[in-house]
Amino acid sequence: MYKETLNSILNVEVYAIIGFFIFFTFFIFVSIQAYRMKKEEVDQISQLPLEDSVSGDIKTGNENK
Amino acid sequence: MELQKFSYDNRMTRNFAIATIVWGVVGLLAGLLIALQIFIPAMNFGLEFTTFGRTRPVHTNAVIFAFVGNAIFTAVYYSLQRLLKTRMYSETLGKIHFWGWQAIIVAAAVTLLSGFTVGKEYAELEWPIDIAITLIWVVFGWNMFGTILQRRTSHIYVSIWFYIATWVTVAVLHIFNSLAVPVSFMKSYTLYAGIQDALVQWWYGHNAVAFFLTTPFLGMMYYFVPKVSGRPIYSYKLSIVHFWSLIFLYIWAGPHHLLYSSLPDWLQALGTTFSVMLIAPSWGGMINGLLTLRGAWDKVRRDPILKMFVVGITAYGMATFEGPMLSFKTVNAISHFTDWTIGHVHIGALGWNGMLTFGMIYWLVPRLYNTKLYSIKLANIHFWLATLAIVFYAVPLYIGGITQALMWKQFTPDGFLMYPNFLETVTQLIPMYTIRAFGGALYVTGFLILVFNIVKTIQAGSFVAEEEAQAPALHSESELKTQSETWHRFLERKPIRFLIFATIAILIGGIVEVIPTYLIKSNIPTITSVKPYTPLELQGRDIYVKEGCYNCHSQMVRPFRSETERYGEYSKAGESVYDHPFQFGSKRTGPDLAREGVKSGKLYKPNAWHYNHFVDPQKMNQASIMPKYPWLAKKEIDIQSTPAKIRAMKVLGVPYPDNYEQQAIVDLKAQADSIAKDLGANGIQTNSNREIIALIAYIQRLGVDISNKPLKK
Repeated sequence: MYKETLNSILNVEVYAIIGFFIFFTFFIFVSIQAYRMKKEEVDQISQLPLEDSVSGDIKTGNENK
Repeated sequence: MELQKFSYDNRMTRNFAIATIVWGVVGLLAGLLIALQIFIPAMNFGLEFTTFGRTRPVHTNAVIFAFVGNAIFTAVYYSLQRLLKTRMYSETLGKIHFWGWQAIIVAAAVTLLSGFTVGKEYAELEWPIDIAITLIWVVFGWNMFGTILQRRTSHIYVSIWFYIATWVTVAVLHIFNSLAVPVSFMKSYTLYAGIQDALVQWWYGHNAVAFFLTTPFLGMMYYFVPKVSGRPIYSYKLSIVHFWSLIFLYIWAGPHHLLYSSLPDWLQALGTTFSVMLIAPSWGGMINGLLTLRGAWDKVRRDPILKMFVVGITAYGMATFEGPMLSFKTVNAISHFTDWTIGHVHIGALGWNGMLTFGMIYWLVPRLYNTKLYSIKLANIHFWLATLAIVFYAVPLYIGGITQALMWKQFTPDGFLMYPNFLETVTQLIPMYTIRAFGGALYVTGFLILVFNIVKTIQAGSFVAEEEAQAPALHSESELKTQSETWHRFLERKPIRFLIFATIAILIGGIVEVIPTYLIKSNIPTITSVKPYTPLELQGRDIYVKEGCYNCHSQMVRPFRSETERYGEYSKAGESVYDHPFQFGSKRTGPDLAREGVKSGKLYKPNAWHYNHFVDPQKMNQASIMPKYPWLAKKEIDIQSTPAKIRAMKVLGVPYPDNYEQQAIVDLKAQADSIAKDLGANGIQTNSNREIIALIAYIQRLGVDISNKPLKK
């Protein structure tokens, strides 16, 4: 029944394989890019959420004890 | 370097935070209500506005788009300014965004309870509201990108990538899934039919989970976990791989909602494959979040906010492990259509979304009001209540789901169904539903404690509308990639290019999945005996959609012996070619209805039975948990809407004869009269213009077309 549905598209399964390869190539590419980042750069970027503003933060009670 | 003085605008953050809390109460109470309705029919109150079929979409929409939606905006309006060291781009856009979104939520609640629905899960809202959502989403994007473009930092932190991906993907999903042909103000038919509609809907549905409930919350995680713990993210490199893999893979996984349905096999396989692959990036994210707390576990022990984050991220890890498992066909054969799925999504919703939101609120509100949290002890109590609630909520549903699935599949040694009466498998679940409702009540209680704690905190503090800050101006940068920077590093300082790449990543999956089904449109095996609905059946179908019957009844018999024995012939793709929208359903609180009208079928009931059953299901089956629908016997069919509906169907390609619009009313009345006459002969006197007549006509049509004739191509 499924085959009947898709008779007109030859080798429709190839879509899935192509999809996988596009992803895989992309994944390898991104991984290499990430791996090649410099340590200082990474450290500096990681600090971004921790430095709100130069003027300092508003105090809160959350730092409990 | 010269420091520029500016201030952060806390007003919108505050507004969205309060909206999150208010809609949280509404959404959770709606959830508790439906958790009770599902095993106490009296809780439907005998009113059309408060029956399960309408309240369940209110719960899902309120939690997803109101509670979680506002939480997302709270996080974005707070973290975006601080990560980019700039003020939000426009206060006016912020206001339009805020009030527009709240107006949409109110409109959604009112229209859903009034029965205006498209009939597609999590996308129920009718076309005028859909357009409003699109406009407000554009305003949100405009404000966000405006802010990004006026930033004072060169680098765009990982949280913001997730916000960007969220924005673009939700836009694409919402627009394509909502395409419809309007019939009138507040009534439309979806553009797609049958399996195509199902595929687009679950491409949307699954990615609503991905890009509304997951990616923005990962953005929150990458900001608030380091913020609260005072430690940078465990691995920034991992976050890059995590981000791209996640957004690339997620978009493919939708078909796992349609396993064993009449969706083409290769698409089902594709959905399974990519769902399994999703474990990797999901767990990459979870590990990155949890390991950020390495060496800070003493802090976690003391701080309820970090405890909430840990449970939230752990719940994310559990749900994203379970999800791929559920997308294996063998597991899905058991889990699908049962309460297992409901348990699964609530690990995500109560654990991941709930806990992260609570943590964020407890951390944020004292800062916005320049004070301390009113009571850490109460926050701790909330933490424990919520954590226990998740266990009480999910465990009974897992047990119930598996129990029911096994009962559905159980055969006697002689080869007959052990539990041929569907109701038997439902009554088994009542104790589980009771415990689940208790879990829900615990969760609501915890949330009410949050409300008290936050109100007290706000009363004690004074609101800091403008928060002074200073940062160096952004020096001009090279338009081109410099020699020393990697490609990704370059991309991270180019937001528009980043947006384009993210869009490409999410579009690839969508295109590969959806395009082939367009190509096969003309090739879905047309079954010559499948004809368009008669005008009365069409009206009946609209009532079926309006009352949200699809929330509890599927119309998709899977190709299992246990299902063909119980319901009849398994469902074919060609059967639903005129179904705008499809009504496959995703949960069987009641039996499947795909073969309900087949006279020789196992489930066939005469018109009179249906009449009595709709009016009072408990009269026909004492243990039934179905709500009563007495108003169907009183309300009149909107006969005058028929020509417009036929016209819209013709626009969509349903082959009604030329100029059939006016004849349709005559045909409708004739068919209604014959049903009323049959009911009269069985002792039920009713006028033929009642909604119940149309609904009976539709129910009696289900499965009829293919029941007698062989399949033809």
